[in-house]
Amino acid sequence: MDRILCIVSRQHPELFAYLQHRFKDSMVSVILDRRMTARRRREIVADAEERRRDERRRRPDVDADLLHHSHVIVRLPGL
Amino acid sequence: MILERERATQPVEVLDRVLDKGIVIDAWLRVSLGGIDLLRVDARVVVASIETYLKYTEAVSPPEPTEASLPSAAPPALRIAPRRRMAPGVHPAAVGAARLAHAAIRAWNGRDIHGYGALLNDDYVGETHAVPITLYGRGAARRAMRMKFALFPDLKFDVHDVVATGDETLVSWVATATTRGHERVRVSGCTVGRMRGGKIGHTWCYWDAREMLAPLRARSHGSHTLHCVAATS
Repeated sequence: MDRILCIVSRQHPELFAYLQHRFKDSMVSVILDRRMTARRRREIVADAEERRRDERRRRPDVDADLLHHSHVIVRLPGL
Repeated sequence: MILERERATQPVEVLDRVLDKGIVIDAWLRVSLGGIDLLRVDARVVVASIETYLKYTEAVSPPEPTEASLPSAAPPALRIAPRRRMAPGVHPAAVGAARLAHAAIRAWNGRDIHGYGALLNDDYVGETHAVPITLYGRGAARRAMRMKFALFPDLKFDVHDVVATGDETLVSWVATATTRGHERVRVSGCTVGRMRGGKIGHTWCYWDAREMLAPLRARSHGSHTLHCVAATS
């Protein structure tokens, strides 16, 4: 069964609070977007190990969607 | 002796009669191949004056849909719009909730005020994040819907995703419309719904107010329209 992530932009804390409360007992995980902007990330990530970890977290499509939408739905298959 | 003179019917008289009485064209088309439905079209076209339509709208609208009468899912091979798919193995209640959510969006995009009301539970409650005004019951929901269409005649929702889990749904959408000041507005948001007894019992609507305000902020006349929309959502 797919795991469903609802990533809410940090610009919309009210939406995050409501969705987290509403879907607290469901298969939908509501999380606040904690990722930094690309520039800030480049400044902080220094060594190779951290860069690899960063690559795993990077989802350009999600980043782009969160620039224009309050939230993004991500389906992670098979978890 | 009474003489009756046959008078040719003028096109204007025919049009007048049509607008006065109204015409309903009910069409149904199904194309199947090997027992698999490839295409199904249900169309109901009403031609009448606005006054006549409003007078007989209850009579010409389709009957209230039941769970069984809601459109069934297309065969897997024919499904499109992968972003709206249901996860495999989901509970049947979630499938029903997702179908209700899709039917509600179709009603909004089809300006089907009666049809939308029919999807709502008797004790429906509608809320938004923006204003502390709560809608109670179908009547209030229909009035709010009618008012939105009066403000934004071309209001349209483009559904980006539907998540259903149990009786809860999350519909992510982008709405576009033209204000009465002929300005295009675009706003993204979502509607969280809760189903009860096979119908929509509760909705909570959220949209990005900053995104909606951006193109209108420079013009003062837009603020009145936005206030009206917020108060009726």
